[in-house]
Amino acid sequence: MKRLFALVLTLFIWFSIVPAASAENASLVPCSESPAFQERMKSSPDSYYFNKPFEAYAQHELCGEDGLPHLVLDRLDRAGDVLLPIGIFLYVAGLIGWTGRSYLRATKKGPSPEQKEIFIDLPLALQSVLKGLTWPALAVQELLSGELTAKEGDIPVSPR
Amino acid sequence: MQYFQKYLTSAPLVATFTLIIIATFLILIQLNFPGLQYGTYFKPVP
Repeated sequence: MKRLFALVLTLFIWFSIVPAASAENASLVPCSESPAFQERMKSSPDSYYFNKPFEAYAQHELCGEDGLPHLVLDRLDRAGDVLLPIGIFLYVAGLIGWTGRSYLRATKKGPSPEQKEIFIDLPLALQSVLKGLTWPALAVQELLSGELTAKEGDIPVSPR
Repeated sequence: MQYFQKYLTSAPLVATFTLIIIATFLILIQLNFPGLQYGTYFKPVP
């Protein structure tokens, strides 16, 4: 009986959740055709560092009614706008993490690891940064060789 | 002199120098490619 109820509940949830219609946001227009954007462009200070960005946005971006470029999430041909920054962020975050990890692991092999946390060993740190640049490949390699994760026997399990 | 050099390699100072280097790098990118942001990557900026 319990199973039957679970099945009925599953079916209910399955069919009552309808994926939201994925219509494109039609209110966005290329910035060059947006009157509000043109207004902003005209009233901005006339200098290289205002003109150039406005020209770039006019060519490539989609503007809303407020005349500002919008980040578009509802069409695939603009997926790069979001995926690129996400990819750069993840890469840099991984670079920082991998650099610190390889530096700490390298200092542990030396005579005074604590001291090297307070006074940075610059040549070693730079080596770690260079190593960190290839972190996606290194991570895969270490995962496959089993170095990245702890062994099953090293994980303490509380008695049951 | 060697003490001063060692002082320069202390973690807070190295962190500060690193931040200054990264900030300079980012400012140079913005100066050379104004308008570079989402949607304009790898597209010719006029």
